[in-house]
Amino acid sequence: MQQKDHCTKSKAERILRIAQDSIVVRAGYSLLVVTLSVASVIAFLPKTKIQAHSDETATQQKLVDQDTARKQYSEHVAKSYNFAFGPGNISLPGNGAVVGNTFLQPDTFPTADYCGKCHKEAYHQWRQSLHSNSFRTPFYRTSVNILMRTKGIEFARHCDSCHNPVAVLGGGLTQASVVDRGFDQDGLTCTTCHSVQKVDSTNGNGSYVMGVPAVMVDEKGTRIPGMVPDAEILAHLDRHSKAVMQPLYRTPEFCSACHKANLPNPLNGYKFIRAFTAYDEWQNSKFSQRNPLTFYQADFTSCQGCHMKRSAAGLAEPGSKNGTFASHRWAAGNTAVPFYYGFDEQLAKTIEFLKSGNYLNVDLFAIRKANDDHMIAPLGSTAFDLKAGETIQVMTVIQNKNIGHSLIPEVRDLYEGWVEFSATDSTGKVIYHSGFIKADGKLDERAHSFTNRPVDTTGGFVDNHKVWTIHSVAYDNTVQAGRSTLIRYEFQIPADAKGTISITAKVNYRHLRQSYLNNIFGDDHPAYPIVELASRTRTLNIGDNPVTKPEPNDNADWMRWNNLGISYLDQLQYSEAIDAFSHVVKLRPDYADGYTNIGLTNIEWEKYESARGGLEKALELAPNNARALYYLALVERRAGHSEAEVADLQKVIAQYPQSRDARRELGISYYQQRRPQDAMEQFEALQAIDPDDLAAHYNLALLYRRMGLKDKAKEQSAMFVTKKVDPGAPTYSLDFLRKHPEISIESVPWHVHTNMPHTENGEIDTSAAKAVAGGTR
Amino acid sequence: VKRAHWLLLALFAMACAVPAACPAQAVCPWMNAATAGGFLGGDVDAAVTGVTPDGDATCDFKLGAASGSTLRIAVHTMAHTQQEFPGYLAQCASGAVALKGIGNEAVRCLAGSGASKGSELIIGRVRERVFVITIRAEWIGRPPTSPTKTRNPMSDDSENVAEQVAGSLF
Repeated sequence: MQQKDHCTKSKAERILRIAQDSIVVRAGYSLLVVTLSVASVIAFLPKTKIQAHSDETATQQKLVDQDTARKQYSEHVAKSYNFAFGPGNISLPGNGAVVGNTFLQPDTFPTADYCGKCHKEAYHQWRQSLHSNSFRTPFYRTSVNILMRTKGIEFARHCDSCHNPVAVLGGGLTQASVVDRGFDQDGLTCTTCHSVQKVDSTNGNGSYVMGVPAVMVDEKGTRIPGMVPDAEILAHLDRHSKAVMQPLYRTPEFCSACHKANLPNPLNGYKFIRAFTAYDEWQNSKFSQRNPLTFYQADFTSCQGCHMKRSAAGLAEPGSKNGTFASHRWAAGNTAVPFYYGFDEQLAKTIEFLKSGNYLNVDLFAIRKANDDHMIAPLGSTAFDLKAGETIQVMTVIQNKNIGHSLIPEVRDLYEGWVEFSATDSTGKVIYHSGFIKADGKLDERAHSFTNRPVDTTGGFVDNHKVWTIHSVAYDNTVQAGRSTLIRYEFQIPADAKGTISITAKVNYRHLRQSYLNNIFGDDHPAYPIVELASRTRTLNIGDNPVTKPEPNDNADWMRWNNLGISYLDQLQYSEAIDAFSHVVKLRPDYADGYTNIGLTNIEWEKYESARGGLEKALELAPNNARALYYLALVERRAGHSEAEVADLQKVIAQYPQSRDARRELGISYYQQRRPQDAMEQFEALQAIDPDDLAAHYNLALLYRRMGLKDKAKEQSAMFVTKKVDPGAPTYSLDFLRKHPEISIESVPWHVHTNMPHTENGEIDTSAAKAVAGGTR
Repeated sequence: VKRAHWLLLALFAMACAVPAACPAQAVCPWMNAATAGGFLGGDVDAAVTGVTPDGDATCDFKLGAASGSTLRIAVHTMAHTQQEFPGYLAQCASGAVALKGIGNEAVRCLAGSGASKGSELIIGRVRERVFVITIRAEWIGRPPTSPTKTRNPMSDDSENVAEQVAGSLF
């Protein structure tokens, strides 16, 4: 029994042991299988999953490192920084902003050399461009140095927010700066534009928000600050592209951050003055397709469409698409910088650009004989006779045909665009010459130029672009996009003239005016390039002049009349404008805009009921024509037809939601209809398009107050007060004009250029007589 | 107590007088120490001497004593530019290279004589003001490090310094 028990026990123990062994073995086996399975699963997992963790960690580490370094740098700079415009404000009177809102180390911007290792074509173009030379050129430094010397370096933040953002955001613009300015020579380096994260508004003065520069994002899209090895970029081109390219960069609003400028109170200690507005000019042009009121229409073209045209890349360029690369030359009007630095390729491309594009049309449109009201027009399409000894007035129309902004844009107190007109007899002898260059390199004072004359409180010309002293503008003869100007040249055909008289009108451009170049370099500098942008010559016979064939670039006759009408309209000659537009509809009865132009002229003339006919005819031809609807709405308002007025404007906005004029007028209509909420919406929408609109400021101040929004009302009210024209300012202009009769004539919309002595009360005007001597060669 | 009172007054007067006795200009008008340091490759000692009412002066930047690298910027106003400027250019040994895009005109060369013999010189002018930049550094003459330099490849960094100086003089 015991033995049996023993045996039973032993057997049980054995079974138990075997069972135990089996469990251990099985468990071990199972563990092995599981381990191998997990290992094999992990082994076959996509590598990025593993790398994701390490990427994320590396990114986090880089972010922490950058934050720490930035904090230290910022504290170091802040110790001696002149916070003249408020604690913590690093860029006022400019608008440049940076993510994190503290000083950013200049060396966080990867250098152009770094980018240029791969982007060879981009680097090559950029190095010669205005953007890379935005700070260092004598043309800029001369002006900004005066600001620094007279008011203080801190005021230069206004200019350098665009001309040298790395210096501004790095805290370099302060007395006793501790910032190494070795980066100055690169101006707007690659990673300034390519680090902008958003545009804060369309206010300009550098209204961008700069991100911490990054050339890579991690797999989650987080920007990795600083430079990375080339191999890493090459392994993740998509992530490189995400870091440095944004849809924003292709928009006109991106350019508005700097190609729009104002002079704010902290800069001039006076009041807000709008300085230049290339962006607004574009927005009001036909190329934006945002403005229903343009005289002509065109396909949508952004700033980049003209200034960053794609072409084949000559050097290696990974940014190319389908073999073409968006130009990083930004060819425009500046011939001075490439001339100074010897960038011959950029100079040639700039001149080529200026001459291309059919940007301007020069039309020797008509002749008017002295003491004869009859106009011989259009020249070439009308036969006429001419006699020796006759005094004639050549009516020249310059059309800003295909420029997306004014002629000339932006800094037109420094740039020089003008008309050179000459008449020569058949022997080549010059009978009359206007707009010539004098022996000292300066332009004939009586030339018709597309410049302006800003003046200070003494009535003196603001030379050297000392914009902080501007209080008024004595004249501004710019031609806005799509518009035309009429220039009258009067001269006498010599009594002994025989054969033919050749008349030529050219539009010339020089970057920059000679007197400014003299201020920069002294008198002993080489002559800077003068580029002929467009010209037209006609040969007049002494005797009979038959009809002649047009030249390839000539506008059709209906457009020539239309441009004359536009010129008259801008020169406040309404009767003549209506006559010119009447010729348009005679030649083009199908052209709705011709009738609208007649209506528009009548509105300007304050003949509202007379305007109705033309506008209704235009709508008959083109029932939903936004331009005609807009002007008809103004007529309806005058007639007290409030509902019709609103309905017309609503139709305009449905087609052109970004029309600032339609938004403004509809806001006013709603206001008058006592619909404050609707009015407010329109004015707010208007302000989003144009942050300077005075009507928006004024009406929103009233509307907000009524709605109990006192703070917002106060803000709008303050902006209205600072932005509205100082009623005393024109007196400064008058002082200037009194001292400068040659400019005084130019400031009158309707004026004549002549070599004929002016007489007043029978006395010869000696200054005009002088002009005869100087103006005729 | 009376004597201590006078002593305090004297100390106060001395304290007031100290800033007036210091050089009128401690900061170089054309380049800050950080930029000079960035160029020479480290922290520098800066001194400004010879300040004139015209604003002319000489700035001396010196890297740590062991290195011996120095940068001197001297600016003078010329009464007769045409006559005086060639005299400044004569400091060059032969082989001066004309530099485009720096001031009205500028050349780069090695100093031919005097204490600065062998140093790199950039001599130029902005209108009637001449600047003489003297660079003494062990890396003079080395080829540029960057493959993308487009202008005179001899000494881009030195040109950058000259450009800073000329830019400030405009």
